[in-house]
Amino acid sequence: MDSAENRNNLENFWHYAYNDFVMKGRAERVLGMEISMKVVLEQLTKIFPPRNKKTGTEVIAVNQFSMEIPDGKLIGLLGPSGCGKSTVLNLLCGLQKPTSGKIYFGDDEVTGLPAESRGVGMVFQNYALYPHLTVKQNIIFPLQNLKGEHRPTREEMDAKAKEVAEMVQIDALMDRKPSELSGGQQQRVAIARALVKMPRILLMDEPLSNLDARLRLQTREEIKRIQNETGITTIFVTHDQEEAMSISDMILVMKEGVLHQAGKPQEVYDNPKNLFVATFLGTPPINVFAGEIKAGCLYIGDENVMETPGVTDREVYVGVRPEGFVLDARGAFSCKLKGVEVMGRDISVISTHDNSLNPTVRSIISAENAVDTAREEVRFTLKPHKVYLFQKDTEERIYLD
Amino acid sequence: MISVGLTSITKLRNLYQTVFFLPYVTNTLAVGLVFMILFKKTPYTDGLANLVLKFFGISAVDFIDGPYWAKMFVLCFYTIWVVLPFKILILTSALASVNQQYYNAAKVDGTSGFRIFTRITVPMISPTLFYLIITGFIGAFKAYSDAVALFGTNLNSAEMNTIVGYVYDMLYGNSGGYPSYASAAAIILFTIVLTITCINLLVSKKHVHY
Repeated sequence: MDSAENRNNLENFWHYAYNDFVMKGRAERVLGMEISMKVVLEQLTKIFPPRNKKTGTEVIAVNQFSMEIPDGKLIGLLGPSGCGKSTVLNLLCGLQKPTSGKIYFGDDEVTGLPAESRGVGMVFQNYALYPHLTVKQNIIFPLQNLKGEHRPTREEMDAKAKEVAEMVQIDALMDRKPSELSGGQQQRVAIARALVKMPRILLMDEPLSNLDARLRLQTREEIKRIQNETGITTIFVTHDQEEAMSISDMILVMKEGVLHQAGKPQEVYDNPKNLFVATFLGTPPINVFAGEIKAGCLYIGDENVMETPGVTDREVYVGVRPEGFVLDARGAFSCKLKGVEVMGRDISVISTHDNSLNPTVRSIISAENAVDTAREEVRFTLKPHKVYLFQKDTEERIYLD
Repeated sequence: MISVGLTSITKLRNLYQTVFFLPYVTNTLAVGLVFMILFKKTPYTDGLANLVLKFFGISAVDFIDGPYWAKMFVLCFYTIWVVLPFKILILTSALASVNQQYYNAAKVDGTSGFRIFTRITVPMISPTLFYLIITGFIGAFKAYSDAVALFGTNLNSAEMNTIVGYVYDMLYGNSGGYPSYASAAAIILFTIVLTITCINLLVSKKHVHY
């Protein structure tokens, strides 16, 4: 029995990991040891059967998802809502079984293992703290589930709960009920509960979505710090690209169950593979125009805006990041000026263009530039490295020489 | 328990729910008479219950006019049969209102089925359970029509009298005409129910989580 053996190994593993914990005593040291590991997803596919057998169509939530997630990093799984992010998370933690494909944690295949023997910690979107238990009881709940010799004594449980609580800074709230805590504190308790059993992998489903804007900024730093301290491979799901870009070591951009691009946040932002990734990342979003390549030059409307060496003549989509515009009275690219928003550090110039796919063109320029709002036209030069060309039919990126 | 079972069955769930709910929509007295026929032993037939017992090699007992334990058994069996569907209905809806995410969280943490039941399910539906326990206790002390349906109006001779039955007897029954006894019994009934409800409330402070 392959899975039984796997399970046995895992139990031994937990046993030793746990003994180590008791001997060393300090959570930091133990959590810092090599218990986290890389995660490999192979051709992972999840198909939900149609709800109505006659008329319904099946839903492909995750499609041929292959990825190797490096050890000990903070990974942001990013995509618009309904793109299958949460399904990937559920497949990883074992709440759902994949239709096909394989999942490995380190060298162990865990595809067939039930959730409880995978050694994952999960932080749910609405935290799922048990309302009838105190903070402390919530945190030690996973430890009380351990059986036989793996089960720590009461004192050990208390000590462990205290250490994890200190790490997430809720040690003063141990006797409260979840309903007596603020959203941010509940979030910390949920993280503590996921960490207390020393998971190999920590999963978070939209960890910041229930917090207000200010707390969100604070908590995302906190998540980064906790991840750094523990060194546990952490995967979190979000639809907020700013959130993902700001703290992740690596982001995975998904759409309709397909992984579109993976990489360091800045690399993905600077070098999008296709139109979807380009439009999804960045606030304010990228400006997209319909354009044409003629004789090595890019035309938007009738204006020749830049040279495009090595690209044959064709119709293209042109993506220009808001920061890719330079105000220039003799610039090649003209837009109809609609308004100016002053934000202190910089100004956004809002204009329209006949060839723009978005209703307005938004460009961000430094506040030192003065824009004459009385004029009807505004002219820009484009920064070539902030301009991306995409194939009109496939929306794939066209690279310049 | 049955409710948990019911919620975990997905196929034919509606059918089972209907079957379990059937006693609730039928008339108490009518069903009581049917029960009496099922369990009664007459010179002509032993009744269905005894036929089943015989099949397992147990000698026939008259459940309606027989020994005290047999009559008590029929009464209990009948009461459970009548009361259960309402409780199941309430509990099923209580269970449905528990957020699935608690179960997912418990599953990821490797909680055993028994622990999920005792540490999550029961506390989560404890307000409903508490309500059912209180109304159940009160209902048990008020029992009268069930006994009448099974054993006829002369409950004293059947040794199956209830408190409400005693109140009735003192007022209108064969030994009637003693309203003072009846009032005293009614007040005693009230006190007993009040005391038990208070005890329930005290216990619930510790175990019920709103």
